[in-house]
Amino acid sequence: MRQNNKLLIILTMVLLISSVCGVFVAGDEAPKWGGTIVINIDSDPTTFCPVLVQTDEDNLPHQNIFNALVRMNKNLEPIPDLAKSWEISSDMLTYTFYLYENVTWHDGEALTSADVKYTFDLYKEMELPMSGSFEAIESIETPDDYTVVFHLAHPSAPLMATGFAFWRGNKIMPKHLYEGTDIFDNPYNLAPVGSGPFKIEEWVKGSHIIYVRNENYFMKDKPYLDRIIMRIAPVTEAVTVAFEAGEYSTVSVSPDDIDRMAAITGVTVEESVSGSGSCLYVGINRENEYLSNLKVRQAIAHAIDKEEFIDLALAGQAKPSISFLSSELGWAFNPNVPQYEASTETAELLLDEAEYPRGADGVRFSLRILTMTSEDWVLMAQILAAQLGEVGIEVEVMPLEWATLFDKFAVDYDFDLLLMGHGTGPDPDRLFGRFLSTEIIPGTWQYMRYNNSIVDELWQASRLASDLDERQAIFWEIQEIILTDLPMIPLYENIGFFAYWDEWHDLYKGGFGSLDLWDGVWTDEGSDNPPRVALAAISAADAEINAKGEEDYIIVDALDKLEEAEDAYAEGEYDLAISLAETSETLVEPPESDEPTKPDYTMYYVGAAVVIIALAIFYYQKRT
Amino acid sequence: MSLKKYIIKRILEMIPLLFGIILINFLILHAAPGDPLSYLTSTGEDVSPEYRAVLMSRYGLDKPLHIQFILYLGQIVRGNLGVSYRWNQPVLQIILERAPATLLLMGTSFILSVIIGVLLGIRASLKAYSLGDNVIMSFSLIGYSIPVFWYALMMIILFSLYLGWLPTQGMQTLIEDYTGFAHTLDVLKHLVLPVSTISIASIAGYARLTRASMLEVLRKDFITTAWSKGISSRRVYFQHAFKNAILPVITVIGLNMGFLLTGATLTESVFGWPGLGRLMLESIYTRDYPLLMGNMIIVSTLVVISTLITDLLYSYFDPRVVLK
Repeated sequence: MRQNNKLLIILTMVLLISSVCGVFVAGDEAPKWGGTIVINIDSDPTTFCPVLVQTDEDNLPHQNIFNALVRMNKNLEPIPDLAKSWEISSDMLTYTFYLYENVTWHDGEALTSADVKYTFDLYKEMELPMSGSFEAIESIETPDDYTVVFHLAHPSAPLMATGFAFWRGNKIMPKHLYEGTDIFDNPYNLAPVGSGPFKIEEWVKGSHIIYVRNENYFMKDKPYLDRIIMRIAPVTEAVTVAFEAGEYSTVSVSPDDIDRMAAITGVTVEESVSGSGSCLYVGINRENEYLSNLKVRQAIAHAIDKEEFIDLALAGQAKPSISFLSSELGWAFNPNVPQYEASTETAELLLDEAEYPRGADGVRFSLRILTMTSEDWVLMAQILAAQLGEVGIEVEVMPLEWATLFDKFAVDYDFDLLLMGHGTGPDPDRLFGRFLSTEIIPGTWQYMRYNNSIVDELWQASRLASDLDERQAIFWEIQEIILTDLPMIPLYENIGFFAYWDEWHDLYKGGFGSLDLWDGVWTDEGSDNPPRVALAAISAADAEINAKGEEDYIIVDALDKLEEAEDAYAEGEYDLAISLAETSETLVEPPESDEPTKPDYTMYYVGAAVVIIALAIFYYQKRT
Repeated sequence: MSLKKYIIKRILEMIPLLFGIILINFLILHAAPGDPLSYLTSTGEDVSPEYRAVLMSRYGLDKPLHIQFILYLGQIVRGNLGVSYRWNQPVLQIILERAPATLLLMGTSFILSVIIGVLLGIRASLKAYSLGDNVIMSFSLIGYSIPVFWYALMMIILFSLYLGWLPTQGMQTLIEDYTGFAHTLDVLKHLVLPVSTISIASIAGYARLTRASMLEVLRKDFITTAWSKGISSRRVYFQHAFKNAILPVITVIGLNMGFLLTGATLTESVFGWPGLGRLMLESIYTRDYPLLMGNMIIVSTLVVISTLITDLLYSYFDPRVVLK
């Protein structure tokens, strides 16, 4: 269940999340206001505190409550969030951000440069999950309330992508609520006060989180939605069925379900192209007596038929990968790395050369492949085992629950092969923890213990490079080296899919898909007018009616109607609220006078008409 | 021995028992591979050694194991179940938040399955090997062996997707803001599918147990005597036979009662029910030791108490049983 699917979910989510971006073509339709979107999340967040967020459980739930300086568009370029503009000095040592001036926290306090400085100072003063990403920052200046200047100790090419504009760790903290407190123990971690487009109305652990629109959001007439509901339920088939039954607005879809979902009227299935660079691969323990031999690793690479693997395990819905970087990363991805075409002959030849001949039972030697316990991962491992079995390598599949698995491969290094995945996010630098020799510490992700001083040096150089072409050349070389050394064998680039009911628009448009502000999401069911206009109409009508009331006009009916308008507003029916408010003004009746009212002759006219018609019919029928 | 003395004696006996439970659970949990920080890496993120040190010392996991145990025991004695690693909130508070939903689900299933199961069992035993008996027993065999996950999905597809009668996720409709009676009705609607999923197996269990026990008693000499005295069949069945046949059923009921707060992990997962079963499963994955320990202590205590109640009930139903 939860943990079982973990990595796949994670990867799909990150993809989903991160990437959907490119897929949507902004329509010409004008957005509408109001509505509630219902989505599913796998389990409860553990914290909403921006600097403590580390897991996927926390990533999504804290997004819409806070703002960062900048966010990512679908081309993975930074766009304004709190910062309306910014400058980076030519030596890449000074970053200056100019903030919007009308931003307030949900409690009404103004958000200023002091909050920004406070947030990023925390990374220097304390050990926090993202401290490493901001390590280049030496000092922060706040010349005025709406300007922040970061001074760097050395140039840092990935700082924008994996720091300021990343999907976590970049959100600004409310200084007035955190300063001087124990950050780990602050009650606002679980009842957050942010600046974002939504705030939390209710969180019932294990059940749901309800977000409501921040009426004082600094972007005019945003967000469009009134509410976001995240129902907390483990991702099982039941969630997919619940989506079909209308209980969710959108869900992620496994490859097997794509055709079935796409066939449902009113449902669209979208591919979420991976902007986060999520790849699956086989990690190799080169301390193993067989795997230390490069020929054996090459043989394994040849023995794996990626196309067949993808067809069998993923209903064909993935892209074979050749590098540890995803091709989605554009500039960084090297299409010319050494490739190992699927060929059992080549594999057998290499194994023979390595002098591991087949025994009497046809087996050359045995290995274990570790993986997670969920069905999809076990299936993938079994397919790999079968493919390797064909060339005489006997592989035992060992599925393990996450904490046990991680302990085994990352702490005890007790594995031969590991079916695993990683995502680079917007910059390949995020994989330094997989390949730099300095990161070989038990309990980290450098479980392959890849140790190559050339790669170490190249990687350092890539960080100081200020020019993208220079970085590209470096990362191409790194890929060349690693794909020759083969500490890992790439399998496929993950493609996520999600389904949604057609009433929804502009879902997951940012560079990181759902891990972004949802201020642009809207539904056909919404109103043409924003809540602001409805509120203005109501208060105008209210003023008008009360003014008439002063003049002894009869306003009882008008007030009733106005109340209906207010109810409609509360329900999120903004167009209805406006028309009710307008109607209410017409219901104001002048004071009663003594003049006799004119009798109503309508009924007489109608009666006469009926009689005439009846007579005409009678006459006509009699004639014929 | 008077009843009061007996109860006091049993409660005193609980103390070493609970100590043993705490010790064993503590050792097993800490012996499991991985630690509370493992789940932070599950996204593929690294936990830097420095940050690891910060968290480990906050959790008190940097101390030797025996010191950790003594500190924990001291806490428990003072009635403090500790603070969850995952949420940094008191364990008792988190468990109590989830207890009502769990009791609603488990209690309803428990009561329904006892009543329906026992009635079906009696009905089957009255006309043993008749068509009705065979139908009931066949269905209960199926009910007992059906995989929960599959059954739940089938129910969801039938009642939610095709018929559109019942909701499947969580314990309330969130998109509408129901209050009062409408809210109660809404919760009841959400309760139907998970309760039927949990109950199907236990109804079958109770029915089979009751039937077997009734049939055994009905063969006894004293029943033959009762028949020969010309007592009405209603009295034979319900006063003579049932009171004796119910004893093993009471044992099972008593044992199951202790597990009311454990929740039903699979069912809760499928239906997104906010119960303690899911919470415990998540706590295992996240290695949230205090939360796991706290829940185990509460559940063990309940099991011990319900065993005591079962014993007391037993002596009431069966005068031959002497409390000592």
